[in-house]
Amino acid sequence: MVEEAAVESLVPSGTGVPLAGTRLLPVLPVLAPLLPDPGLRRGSVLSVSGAAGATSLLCCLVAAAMAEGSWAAAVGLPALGLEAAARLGVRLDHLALVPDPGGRWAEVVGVLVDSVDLVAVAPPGRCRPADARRLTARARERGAVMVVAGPAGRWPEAVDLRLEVGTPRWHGLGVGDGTLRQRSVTVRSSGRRAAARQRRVRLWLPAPDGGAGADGDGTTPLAGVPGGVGDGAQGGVPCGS
Amino acid sequence: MRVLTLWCPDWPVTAAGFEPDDPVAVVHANRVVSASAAARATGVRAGLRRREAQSRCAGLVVVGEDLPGQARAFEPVVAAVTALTPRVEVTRPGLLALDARGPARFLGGEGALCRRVADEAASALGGAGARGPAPGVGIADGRFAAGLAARRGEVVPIGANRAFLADFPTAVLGDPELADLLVRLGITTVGAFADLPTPSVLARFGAGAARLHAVALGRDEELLDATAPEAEPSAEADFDPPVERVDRAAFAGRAVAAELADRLGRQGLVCTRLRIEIETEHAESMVRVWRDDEGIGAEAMVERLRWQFGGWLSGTAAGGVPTGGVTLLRMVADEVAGTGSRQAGFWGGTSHADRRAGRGLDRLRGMLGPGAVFTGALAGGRGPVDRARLVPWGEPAPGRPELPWPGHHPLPAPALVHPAPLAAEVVGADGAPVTVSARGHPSAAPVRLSIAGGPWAEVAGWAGPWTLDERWWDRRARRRRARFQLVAGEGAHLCTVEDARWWVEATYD
Repeated sequence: MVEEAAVESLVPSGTGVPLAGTRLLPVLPVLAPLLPDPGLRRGSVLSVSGAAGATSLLCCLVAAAMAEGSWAAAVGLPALGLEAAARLGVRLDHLALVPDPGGRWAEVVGVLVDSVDLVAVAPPGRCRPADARRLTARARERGAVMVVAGPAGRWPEAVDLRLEVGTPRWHGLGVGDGTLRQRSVTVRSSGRRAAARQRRVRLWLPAPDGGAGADGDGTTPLAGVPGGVGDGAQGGVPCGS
Repeated sequence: MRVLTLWCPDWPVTAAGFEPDDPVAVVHANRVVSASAAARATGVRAGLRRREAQSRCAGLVVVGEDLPGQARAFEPVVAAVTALTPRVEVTRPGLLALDARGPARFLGGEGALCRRVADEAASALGGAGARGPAPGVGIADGRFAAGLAARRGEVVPIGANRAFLADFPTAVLGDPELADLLVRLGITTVGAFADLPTPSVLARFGAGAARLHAVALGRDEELLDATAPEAEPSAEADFDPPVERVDRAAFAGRAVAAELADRLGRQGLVCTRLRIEIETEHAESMVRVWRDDEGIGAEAMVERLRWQFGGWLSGTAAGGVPTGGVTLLRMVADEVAGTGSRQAGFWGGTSHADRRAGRGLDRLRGMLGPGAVFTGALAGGRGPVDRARLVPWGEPAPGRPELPWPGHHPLPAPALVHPAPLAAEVVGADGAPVTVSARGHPSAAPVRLSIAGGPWAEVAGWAGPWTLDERWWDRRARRRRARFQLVAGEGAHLCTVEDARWWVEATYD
């Protein structure tokens, strides 16, 4: 009979306690102005919301966090567009998906917070404050970043940083011609402590190449209707390629 | 379940027409896969290189491996045992299994059943002129233990698996890497491995080892999460005119197999027991059941089909040689299992982060079952739903098809792809629903959009329709659709019109 300890000692223990110097997960340079630190602080909880563009912003956070080999997970997001995520830089083979955790979502997030560095979660309609508190504490202990997707207020606890996407304007689509090509959005951040000051950036999400980019000329008044800007003249020919 | 296993020792040698006294080695890819008793006595072992085997045994006869030939030679045995009980599963040529409960009751006990099966098999082999060692027959709970029981010719009593397995070396579990590691830890027998606490085995060696641990405990049946599916997934092909040649039928079988494997794969399943039914124009039929606990993929299905044809045409099956061309070919997944449990463990992964994630996901899969934890992979296709797929955790990701897909929806890719399209209504300026003519012209410009019965939103911009006529060569599978991009309210959507009904397929969130 072999003692359990003998087997335990085969593998370096896999605790996720962050090491000094790796307390931050990388973030896209265009999003850096929104954060109090030059990256996502491990152990923190973020929320991402907005009428349009929240999912893309979430993918940007995941993609950047993966840059140094980290794994991420998405829980309760059955509609996540994987092709769009991949174009925004998400490594699909390092992204665990639990599209339908059912009633055990809190348990699932608990396991994932132990094993990956960033967990995106869309809590079900009603989220118990006790679950939220426990998961927040666990993420802090394990050094994982939790990103709550969905309308603000789904998460009964205060979050460290709130990101909100607004004023979406599409370019490339006309009335009966063109195709969707790129979208400009504004992202606002607010939060607690160091993040208390409101900040905002404008960016292309997606940019014409499918990624995210700084809207360098963000002050240019955009013609057309909110939500969709008709510059179909440059919209290209709708040939399916 | 009580399983009877019949095992023909050194079947590749016997099937090649040699006797145990002949020094023979069967070689595949320059490695020995099987050796006769005489060759083994001189030190020839499976796994040796051909040159090395020849140097150990002077006068060694080396023959290439001929699996179809082995299957053909095994057919008389399968036919003889099938005459006793219909549910005979062939694992590979030389090894078959059957559910012992019914026939044992009928023949007056498990011992009697073993003797009867052994006699039938021996006489079938004798009749076919094979001169190999007598087949071994054994009964135990579950296939794994039954396989070992057959080697010893034993009937293991009900519930005695663990004691029976305890003395075998860990190598019989069939995972050389794990066996090697266990031996270095001082765990040399299956019994000692079974004594380890299950949670530690799972945590430290991964899911693959946990599966073998359950096998060692004699509980392989429970953990083999194989079930008989409610509606048996199947695929078939009708031939009109009948196909007269085996190679052509096998070629058609390739498409059938691919369809079945693909359908199972989408559900995260793999076929562990495959039933192949062949019928001829003269209403002759040949049914065989094939088993592989590791899962039978499309290629393996075709291989089994070839074996089955070979056996039938050899004329040793009951009913003789078919007299007409093949009119029907059907493959049925008789028993399926989640692909997850069939994965070589994450053990031996790369970085620390990978191992940590792998362990966590193994744990989640244990918690939620095989069809709940996925990673993603890009795939080819024309619609957003087709362009990515979920790969059940543990299954190897498919290669990315780089083929062009003319007609796929324009970039950018939508960030939300609705798992089930949302019903929508789109009306023109006159309030009438917008339709698309057969020539691909919209009846009016879309003006307002309502999703799933929600409030109306003004359409601020739109483009399309891009018509899509898929599978037009197949009357039943044909789909004609038209796609639009619509911007309404704050959202942009990819919509589809099919049969005058609107759906929101994806949203550019």
